[in-house]
Amino acid sequence: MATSSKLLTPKDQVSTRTLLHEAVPVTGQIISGTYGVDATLINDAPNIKNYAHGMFQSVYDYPYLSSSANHIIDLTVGYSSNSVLSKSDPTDAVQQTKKINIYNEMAQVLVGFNTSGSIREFDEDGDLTQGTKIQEAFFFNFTRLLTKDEIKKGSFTLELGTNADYDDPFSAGSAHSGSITLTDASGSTGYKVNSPAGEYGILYATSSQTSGDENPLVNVSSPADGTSCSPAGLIYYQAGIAVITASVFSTLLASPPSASFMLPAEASAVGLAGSLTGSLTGSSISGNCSFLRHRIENVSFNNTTELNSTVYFCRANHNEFNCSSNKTYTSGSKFVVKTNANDPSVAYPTTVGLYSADNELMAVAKLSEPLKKDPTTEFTLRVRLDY
Amino acid sequence: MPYSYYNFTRNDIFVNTLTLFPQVKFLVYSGSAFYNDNPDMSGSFTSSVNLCSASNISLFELNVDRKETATGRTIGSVDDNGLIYPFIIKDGARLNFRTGTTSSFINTDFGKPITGAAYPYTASISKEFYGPWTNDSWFRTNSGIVTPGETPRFLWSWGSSTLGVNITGNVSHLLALKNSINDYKVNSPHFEYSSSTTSVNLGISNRDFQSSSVGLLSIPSIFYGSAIKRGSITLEFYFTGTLIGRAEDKLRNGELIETYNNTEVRAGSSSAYDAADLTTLSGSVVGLVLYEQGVILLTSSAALNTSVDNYTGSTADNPRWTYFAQSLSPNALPTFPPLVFGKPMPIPVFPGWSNMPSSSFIIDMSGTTETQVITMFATAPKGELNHSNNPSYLQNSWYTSSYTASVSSDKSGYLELDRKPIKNVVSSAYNDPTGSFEKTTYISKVGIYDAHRNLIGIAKSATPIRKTIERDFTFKMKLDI
Repeated sequence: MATSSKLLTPKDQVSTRTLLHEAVPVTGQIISGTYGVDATLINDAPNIKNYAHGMFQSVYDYPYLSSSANHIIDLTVGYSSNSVLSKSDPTDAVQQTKKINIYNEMAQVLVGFNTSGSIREFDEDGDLTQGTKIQEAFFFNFTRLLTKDEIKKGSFTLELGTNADYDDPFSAGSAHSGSITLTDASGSTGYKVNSPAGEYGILYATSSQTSGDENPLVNVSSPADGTSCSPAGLIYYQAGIAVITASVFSTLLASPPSASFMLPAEASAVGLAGSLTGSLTGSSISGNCSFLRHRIENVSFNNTTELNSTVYFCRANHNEFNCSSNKTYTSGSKFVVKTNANDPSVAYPTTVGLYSADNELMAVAKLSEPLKKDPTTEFTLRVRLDY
Repeated sequence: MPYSYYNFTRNDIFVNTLTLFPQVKFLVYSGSAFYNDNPDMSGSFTSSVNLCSASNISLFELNVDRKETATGRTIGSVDDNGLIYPFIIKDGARLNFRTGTTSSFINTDFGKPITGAAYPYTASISKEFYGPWTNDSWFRTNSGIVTPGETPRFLWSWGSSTLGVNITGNVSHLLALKNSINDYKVNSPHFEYSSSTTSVNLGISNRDFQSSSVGLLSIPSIFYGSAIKRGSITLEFYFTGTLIGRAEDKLRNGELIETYNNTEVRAGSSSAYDAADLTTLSGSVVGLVLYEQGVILLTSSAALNTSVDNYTGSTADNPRWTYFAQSLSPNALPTFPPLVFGKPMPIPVFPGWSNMPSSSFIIDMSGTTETQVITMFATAPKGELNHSNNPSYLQNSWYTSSYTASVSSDKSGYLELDRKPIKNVVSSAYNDPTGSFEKTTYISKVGIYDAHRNLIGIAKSATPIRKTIERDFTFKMKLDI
């Protein structure tokens, strides 16, 4: 009697998880400049969406009115109410309340609350009990489309231009490298878990200028190893959010004309100093985001998608599945695959059906080609079901 | 005490299937196809925004307006080439990308990345033309029998005559469809790969797909879903902008029947084609449709017009249904990779098409998509859900005052005030006094919980719904699954 079905035991099935990654480069060309209609009107770029609420700015990889465009990043900026930038009179700073609200919102989601119920501030080394806090920060909210389940630890890179000249942000100046690179090089093993939003890593700043850089974040004696450099931000892997301290632009603290974080034309138009601090207090959130975009040379990371699978090992022993009930198997009451009556039974399995406990066909696995099965052979078909 | 949780009863939840028929249209002209009238859009960096032509669907729609560039950078453990692409790390699961070769997989060390092709992954309509069979052999070789614009039916290699014949090869898509074509015979006797005596006696032309001239249009399922809708297909053949033929599956049985022909054009028939075809073609079956497979077979070789175009390479010919969408076929001989004795014939590389200026084609049809929808009815009965724990439910002065709660004098307990005034929100024609008090709530959300009271979904109403003791509501919630 031919065996047509067989019970799968617990030993015949195993659940596995596979990690599929994608390499995601986002160049500065995409973020700033490519679709700008006028270099002096950075907010006019058709792939940048600003909102009436003014709380953040959305970046697309193509003019967002096109159905081809993908939403890739939301940018925003904020500072703590404990920051030196926080004015006692909110009207002294543009959108101060919103900037503090943004900071608090991001902090309560990503850092959480302390025992007294107060919102914790971002900590530059992840030790929430002590150390330097990040009180002025730029926030990169990457979309799910890019980050998928999470950003792969140890793969995040952000290159920023820090040259004083607004029109030439990536060129090296006399005392600094021109651009710095933020990486979570130690993230694969040195990530933190004390966040309500999941795991996060520390972003360290490096530059091509090995010493003497006036940027204190990279002015270290041995920057070859990313972990020996100064922390410059945090990357939340599952949330897909990068928090960058505004100190990365510490070379732009001076006022114009020696340094300008702001678009010079806009700085002079509103009568503000174009320095970083002047921009953070005197310019809107969307304006600061635009100035930040102007200084992004490259963002890249690997994302991760978790694929859960169950593998069923369907074992056909030597004395099983050697016959078929297919109508082509017999002709004139004889097995067509047999020449002589003494020939062993032979079958050609083409399909594996998976049935539920109540004998309902749940799934069908097809072989790329029929397998010859006779009493001298046995094999195990590995059926993988992804979900 | 208000009830907050209710169990769905048997009649409160049901699942049904929403069947939709999205329109699918292709315009084919001069080697290009345009899907649903989408134009080719050039980007700032690339000639096509989605890195594919307008006839394609990009699977993930990533890499918009991006160009592959050697940046010299790395992203984690893989190279940065300016494009988004997938990769996995080789491990004990021994997984590989389908496009990867066995040798490259074996040569990759464990723990090293295996990269897939960069996006986009695309699908598009394609056309294969199988010319009339003139050779007694079942096989076609790379020796030049195949004419430009024509797809080989069988690719093969053989051993030397002294060693005996050793044939290995690949069959054509047409031959691979043999069983599927025959399966449709229950719909129409035209669906026979090789005509039987029965069908010939029924008056159906004696035809063998193995030797007949056939045009095969393949439409990937991403365009139409689970099946092409029966009775929705219209094929239109244009010559210099004039409609010269239309075929429809008006009987919904898979037969493509010619429903229009330009008799005026045909009236000028010449010896370039058989004029007898004109009287027999209209109303006759000119092709077949495999609805589930997304395949259209054009079988009529009768000339539609006296004009000529280069449907097969540089050889001018009259327009025929088998040439429908022919500009998607190659117009030159395929390039054959080197043969290896005893190994299957490699798949040839077909060149692109460029020279068919007068003919254009339109394929119009509907697909079928099925979406399962769960519908839930949540009822807010009379006399229930009339209280809220929202702070705004109470009078503001009482809520913010020190009367909200207290600790007992002996500090043995926490005393909740037994009387808290509820804000009277009953509408009145006058500001003061207000209307007679009535317990009123405004329902703004319905939460869906699982059996373990985990919140698994929230439905929000567009505006809060005013609920009084006398009113009851049923919220209808639908969720695509």
